[in-house]
Amino acid sequence: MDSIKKGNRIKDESKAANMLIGIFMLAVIFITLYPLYYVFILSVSDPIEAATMKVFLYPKGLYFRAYKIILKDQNIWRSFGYTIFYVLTGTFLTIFTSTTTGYVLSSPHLRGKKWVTIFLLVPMYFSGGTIPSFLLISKLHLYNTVWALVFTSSFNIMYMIYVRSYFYSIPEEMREAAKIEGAGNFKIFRQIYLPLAMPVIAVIAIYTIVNIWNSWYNSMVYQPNTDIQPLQMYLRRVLIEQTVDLTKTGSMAEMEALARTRLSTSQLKYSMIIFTTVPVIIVYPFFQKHFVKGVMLGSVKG
Amino acid sequence: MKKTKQSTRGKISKSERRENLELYIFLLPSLLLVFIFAYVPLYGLLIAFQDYAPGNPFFSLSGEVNWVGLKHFERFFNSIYFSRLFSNTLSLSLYNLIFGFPIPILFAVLLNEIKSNKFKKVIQTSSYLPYFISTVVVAGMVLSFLQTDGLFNILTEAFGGTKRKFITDPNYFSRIYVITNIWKSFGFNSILYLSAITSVDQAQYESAKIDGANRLRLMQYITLPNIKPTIAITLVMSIGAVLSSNTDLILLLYTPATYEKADVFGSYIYRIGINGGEFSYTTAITLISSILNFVLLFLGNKFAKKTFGQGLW
Amino acid sequence: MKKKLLSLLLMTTMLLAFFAGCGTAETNGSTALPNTPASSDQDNTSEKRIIKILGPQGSNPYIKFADRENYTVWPELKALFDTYHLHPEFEVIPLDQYKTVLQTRTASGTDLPDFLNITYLDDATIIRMANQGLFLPVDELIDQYSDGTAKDFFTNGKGQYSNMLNTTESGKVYWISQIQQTSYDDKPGSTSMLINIRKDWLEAAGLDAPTTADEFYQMLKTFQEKDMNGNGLKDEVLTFNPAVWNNGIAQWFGLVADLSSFVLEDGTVTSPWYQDGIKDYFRFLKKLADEDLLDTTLIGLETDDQLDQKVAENKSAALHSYTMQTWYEASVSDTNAQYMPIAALKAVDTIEPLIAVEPPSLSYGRWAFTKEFQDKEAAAALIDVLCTEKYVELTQWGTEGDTFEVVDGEKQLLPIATNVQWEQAGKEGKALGDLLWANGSIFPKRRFVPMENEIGIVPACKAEVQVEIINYSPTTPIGTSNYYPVMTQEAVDRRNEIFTDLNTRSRELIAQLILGQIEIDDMDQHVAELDALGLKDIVEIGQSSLNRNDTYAK
Repeated sequence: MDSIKKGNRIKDESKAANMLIGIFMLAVIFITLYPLYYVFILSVSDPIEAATMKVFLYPKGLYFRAYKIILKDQNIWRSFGYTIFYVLTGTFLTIFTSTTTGYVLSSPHLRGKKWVTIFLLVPMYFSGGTIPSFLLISKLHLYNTVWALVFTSSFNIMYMIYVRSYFYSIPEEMREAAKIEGAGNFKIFRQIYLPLAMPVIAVIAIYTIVNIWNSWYNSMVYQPNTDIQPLQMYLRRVLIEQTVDLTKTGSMAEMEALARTRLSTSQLKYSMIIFTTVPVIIVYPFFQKHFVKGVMLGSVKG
Repeated sequence: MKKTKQSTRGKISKSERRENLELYIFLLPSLLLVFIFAYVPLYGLLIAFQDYAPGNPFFSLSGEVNWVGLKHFERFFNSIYFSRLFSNTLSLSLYNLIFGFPIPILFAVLLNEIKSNKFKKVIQTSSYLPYFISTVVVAGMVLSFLQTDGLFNILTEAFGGTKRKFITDPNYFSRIYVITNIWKSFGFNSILYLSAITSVDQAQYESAKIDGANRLRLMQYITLPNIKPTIAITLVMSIGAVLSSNTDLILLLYTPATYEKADVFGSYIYRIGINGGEFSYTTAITLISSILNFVLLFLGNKFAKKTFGQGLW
Repeated sequence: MKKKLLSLLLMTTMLLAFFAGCGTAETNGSTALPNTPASSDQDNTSEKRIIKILGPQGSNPYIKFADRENYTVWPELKALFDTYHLHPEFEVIPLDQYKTVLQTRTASGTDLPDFLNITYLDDATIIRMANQGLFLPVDELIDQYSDGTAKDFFTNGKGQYSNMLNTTESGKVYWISQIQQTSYDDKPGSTSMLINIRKDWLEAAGLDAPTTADEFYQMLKTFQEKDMNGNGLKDEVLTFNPAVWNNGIAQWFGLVADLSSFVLEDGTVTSPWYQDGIKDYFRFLKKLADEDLLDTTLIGLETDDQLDQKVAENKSAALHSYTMQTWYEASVSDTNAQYMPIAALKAVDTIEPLIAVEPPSLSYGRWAFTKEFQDKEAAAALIDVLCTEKYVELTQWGTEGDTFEVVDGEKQLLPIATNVQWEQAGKEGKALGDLLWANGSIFPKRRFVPMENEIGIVPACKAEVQVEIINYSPTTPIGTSNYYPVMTQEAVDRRNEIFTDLNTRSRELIAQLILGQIEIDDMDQHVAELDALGLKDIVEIGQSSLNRNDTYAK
């Protein structure tokens, strides 16, 4: 009788709590989704309206020049392709280095573990600057090649730590049991730890994909050849190209035309955001399932 | 966390030695990559102790390099702005830490309470969208919002307050910066915690529910403890980043009227860079903040060990 | 399932890597862009002297240097090179990347070209590199190997002023610059920057154009009271950035247009902080701020977006721009908007208002030869080419019949050569040399512009003011770099040491004074702070530089 009462009370509390949480989450959706919607409206509104920043609900004066400018150059698809290449290689390599390092560091028998950890932590805090890295890439004959970007995004020390931490939560008995059956470390890693690591791998994957997708600095320093540059370099270039110098013009009509160009150029930064975000939103659900549903770790007990 | 003891000091069994070898071979590719691409260029830090100009070698035994010892460090410490820069960098980061660190965690924990998977997915996807809005656009929107006749002031007046000059008042800066920063990154940062939460064994929840635990108790005694390791290491890393800032955002939100509270190491270095030619000096400043961050990392680790029972090492 | 995913990933990666690797094999190693193969510029390399040139691709979206073969003007330039037996090979980097590539290449000394655009390096770095011998001394090249063209151009001709500015204290010249000279009525004359006010509001409110600072203040007040933009709010404001000294109003109070600058007719370098009008200036701005006639949020912001927003929202009663600008009108949501410039308003009885003018003889940008280049005669030949009349014509006018025509003995641009027709020009291959190689730039341009052209096409209210003030004095220059010859390494280093902290404090003081956070009456104290940070040194450095300028030699 008592437990039923308790059960009912829990249910009522639950209902109220559910509602509260639900309302809270709706607020979260509003403050995170609306700004992107606002950016979208700004990107397709008439330039002067967009400059006032006061188009809040729907676009005023549909105007697609900003998107046309981005898309008119065929080169965008090439940079798209190369970006996909960089994302795939970078993500694969980062997952590889993170999981292998995480596995080794979580191994209880490793001698010198502390020193390896510190060795890995130091570069997270100290950097030698652009010129030495440039010299290194040059000497390795990676300058102006795709490999410069591939190698420089092949590891992320923070993710190694994430994996190590994740592996710590897997009971030692598993490793011991497998060892007793004669399995070597490689086998243990591949057949036991790696499959169990899917959630943390999904996190690393999405973080790495997004970071590489948004990056341009390494390309700017190491790749003067525009053919192999990633998407963000291309977009930045479009933005800068369209920035007009108004002071040295010859006629009224010119100046007015350029003034309109100037305004629609300032809209470019909005359409760049939409252009960059949409592919990520499309790809994301593939990874999302790893954070959204519960994972049965029954295999651990068995 | 169980840790099997290693064999007694001095005696390393053959199997252990072989295992260590195996493990290090496994580690080799990563160590190599880190060494080549992260350690080798570190010699660039030497210019903080030189009077470097582009075209000079970084290291030479034939006297081409102009060593000046701690001159640049002294110059920075003696600058009238040093203490202000230090305190602003520190306080803005601490605000960010105190308010910004728990939010992704709370968000992830609460999100886990949502029953409908579909709703969950929508919320989760929406939450990381601000991360993709470029800092320039975010700053533009924030400034527009905070204008004397902007939306925020309109609301303030509607609720009976007076118009404020948010943008030129240094006392508002930390709030504006921290809120914007948190808004922009909480969703993206929560992904790590979400993944940690979903890998918690459901069986734990089941048995706790049978024992009559309510939602709050479940969060307190099951969810949170299970993601404690993740929280611990993220906290330590964040403590080790306390002397860094989101410089891009600050550059776009600050004005000379708010330098007093808004000027940080990064923005100062940026202004030096506009003149150009001060490579040694800016490297020295960056080196100072890196060293301090690294020291804080050690302290943060000790703190985490005491509070959470585990740290980075 | 997961294994399959991993192996799928691996395979895709390897496939892509394979294709990408194929793609890069051709471009790997060679640093030239694939669409500028050296062969297209080749005729008879055996007789010609090769010069490797590195430069930025201009930012014109339609007219690109990479497509130069398609333009009518290019063969003419090539022919010019041929007559000098020169064979240039180009490496073109997109403008947004150029600075980085330039810095990394010059700092590491790898892969240096023969001739390159070094504009984007900072002063201190450039002077150091020059002193270390990274650049060939241009003066020696011209002395020893020029066929006379360059010598004349720089000694007696149009390049004289530019050459003087590029001469170091020890008399050496390490680079050449772009040259632009504007004239009015055949005398040097140039445009200026002034406060622009809303003419349509002025007329609607029944006011006359203000001639004193006080009348300007009254005007702003009236605009607000009469709610000129009709939205019921008192939000018509002055939108400008007083964190920079070149802002129009400072000049009404006789203040020079930079932290350290001078009056052109006088030649004494000073700082606004030391000048007589400084207190009255801040009192004036503070009054405007206190009465909400000035948008104080714009003081010292990094980007122009907020200002653009105010203009677009039809709230900008006055702003600061070029005398003959017409682009702001197109940005206002009110189609009747019209801005007109107002000049030299009297603010203090005892002070003559200044006008900030653009130097009529502009020398900007830097091009240099690196020490790698052994063929000094070829280097001199290139300089000669860049000083010929033909080069000037190709750059500024293009080719006759395609981009310009001669009417009554005067050259006139054809419509296709104007800025609105870029896209068309790109398609037809008819463009000025300026747009093709100098916009960016690969080669320095030379441009000689009579202002009458521009005056003839802007609205009357602007043209009238421009003509009125063309001979006005006293004036102060917009930017001092066009008057200070190359500084010594010590001067530049000293300046860099001081400048950041000094400028930070100066800008802070400006904001705090206008916002009333500190007292204007304590000006002596504030100036003393700036002195402690080195303001006097900056002024001294400026003065000793100016003293080396022939026009101001003391």
